Amino acid sequence: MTDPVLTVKDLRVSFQTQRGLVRAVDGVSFTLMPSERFGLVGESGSGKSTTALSLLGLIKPPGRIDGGEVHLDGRDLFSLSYDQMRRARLADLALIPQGAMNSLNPVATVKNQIIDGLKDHDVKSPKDELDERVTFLLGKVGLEPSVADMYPHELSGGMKQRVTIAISISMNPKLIIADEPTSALDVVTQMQVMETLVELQEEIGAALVMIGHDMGLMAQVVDRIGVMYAGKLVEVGTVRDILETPFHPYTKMLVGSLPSLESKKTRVTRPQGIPGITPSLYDLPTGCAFYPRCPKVMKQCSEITPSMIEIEVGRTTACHLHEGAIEKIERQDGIPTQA
Amino acid sequence: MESLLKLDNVTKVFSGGLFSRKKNVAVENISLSIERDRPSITALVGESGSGKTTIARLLLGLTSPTEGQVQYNDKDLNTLSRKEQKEFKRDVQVIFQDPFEVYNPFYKVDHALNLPIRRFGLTNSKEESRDLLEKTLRNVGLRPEDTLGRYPHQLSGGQRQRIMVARALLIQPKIIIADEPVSMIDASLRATVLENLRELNRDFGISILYITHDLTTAYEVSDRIMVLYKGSVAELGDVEPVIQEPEHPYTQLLIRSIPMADPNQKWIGSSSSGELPYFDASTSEGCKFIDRCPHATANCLNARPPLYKTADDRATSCYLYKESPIVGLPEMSRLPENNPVTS
Repeated sequence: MTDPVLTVKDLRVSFQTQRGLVRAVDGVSFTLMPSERFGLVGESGSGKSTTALSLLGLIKPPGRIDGGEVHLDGRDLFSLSYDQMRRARLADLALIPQGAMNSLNPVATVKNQIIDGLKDHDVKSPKDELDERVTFLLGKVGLEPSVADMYPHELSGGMKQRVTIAISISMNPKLIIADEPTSALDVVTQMQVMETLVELQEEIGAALVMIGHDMGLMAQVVDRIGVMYAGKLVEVGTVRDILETPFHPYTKMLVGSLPSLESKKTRVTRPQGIPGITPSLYDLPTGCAFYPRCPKVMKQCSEITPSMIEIEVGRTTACHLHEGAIEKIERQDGIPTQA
Repeated sequence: MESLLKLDNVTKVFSGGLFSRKKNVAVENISLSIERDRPSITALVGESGSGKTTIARLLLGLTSPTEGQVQYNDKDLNTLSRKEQKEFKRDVQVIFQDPFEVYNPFYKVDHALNLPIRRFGLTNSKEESRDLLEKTLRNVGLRPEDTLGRYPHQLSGGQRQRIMVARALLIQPKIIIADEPVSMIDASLRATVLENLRELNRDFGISILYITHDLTTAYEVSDRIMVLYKGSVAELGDVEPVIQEPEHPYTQLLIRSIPMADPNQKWIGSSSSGELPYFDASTSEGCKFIDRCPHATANCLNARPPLYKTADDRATSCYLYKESPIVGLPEMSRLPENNPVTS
């Protein structure tokens, strides 16, 4: 059996702010196999972007990593020095940022920006070889060689995002982290850019962590989904598991809130919003953070924080409802859990 | 059948600056009518550059048309009296796409909510105002204690946007123009805010023009839909047939491109067009979609396709349907006489 390429264990990140301590990521664990695509879904403030940034070692004060371990290909990323981490970025793990518009240097040509990263990682080649490499990378993301001498403002949104993809794969990383890579693009462009990304990710055999809130996009791109709520992972499963038989009430309601194009005349259910609002991270409820909005809330929900339990192989959820289910199976006494 | 707010054959051209000869036709010969007596929800759908936001700005009088007229109660917006202008400003409310630009950063958000209360005299006392504010904020899923007394930068984009929905709710206008109202709101609240819009329509008789790039939410909320491409109408009509059996190749492309939360759909690898040719068809004489259209023929190059009336309540601007009778946009953009809106 192959080893996972990425192991995240009990990751905890907090921000010390004037209003108090915010636990942005609180005990997140997941693993990725080589070439696997994993989606982190959650609302704003759920900690999905912070999780991504901590993998990259990009948490800056007032943020700090309070604990946990991240192993990439057997290497403990948190034990690396600043310089080692700097070398690991791009070479071992690369970021495709959200909104390519703002992440490219407006006063440098596309070529120089691609070469910049390579030079910074001691890729020493003669100039014409570097140029060739740039043309090759641009070709990989479906751009003409002439794009190399263009400035970002001469490119469309989709082309800019293709450039950031070219940069991210320039050193064949083992892990690509894509933070809402297409949220600023039109739907037709999104499809084409996503196809390019997935094709290249498969070609170089990198694992992909995709951050986002668009369940539709996730369903079509990733293999497994992790659902985050208020800094915690609440459920992990395959796309099919999450969409067809969600365990956690939050996942269930999230899936139930999705708009669809299924005919309004024939469909059985209409999308329903989740009542209540996302809790403030300054003032999280005790116990399960979702209990004030949960239709299946029980007595212990406001008292005990549910921990992640494996319900089936590869399927975990953090919900007291399902702890009960497991107990029931173990005891085999058939007493139904209270709902 | 009286129209309350109407675009009458409107064209808007932006010129590319003092020394540039480049002209950008943002909106071309668009007609649109929102009626007084039959409140409806119309979706205006298009990608960036389709002219949908320009249409919103035209309807609000924030920009004037290069050709054609924008009419409120059958009067040109430019000729309204002071009293009529005030009525117009109350009747027609807007929710913009970017919830940051609309706030004055030096004022607390209360200011944005109190202003219309004062200006339109919605309440009689401070207590009443406060009650009304709190009730309205709760209606859109906000906790008043978390929002009132805050500055815009202290709130999230979603919260700021919901305050704008609350503001529109507060005034109870006749028309709300909602320009991408949910694109910056969390998924779990999106359905709630869309439901709010539907309630405004159903319970208070407010017409809504829902402007979006997202066909799925457009399908959820609206009764009628107008699909725009580069400033022209590609297809319009009753939302059910347009979405379920799209006629225009562009609508078909849009629907195919949507990633659905359905593991049985195959999305990756299904884009047929591949790289788009670098050829801007928007300035050509013919169909604007010709550079991306799989059905394009030489015929499409010569002249813009007219609207063909393919069914009782729908029309498509594509030569594929030239067997159907030609119809004018003003006629089609009105609600059909015999079709009471149900929602």
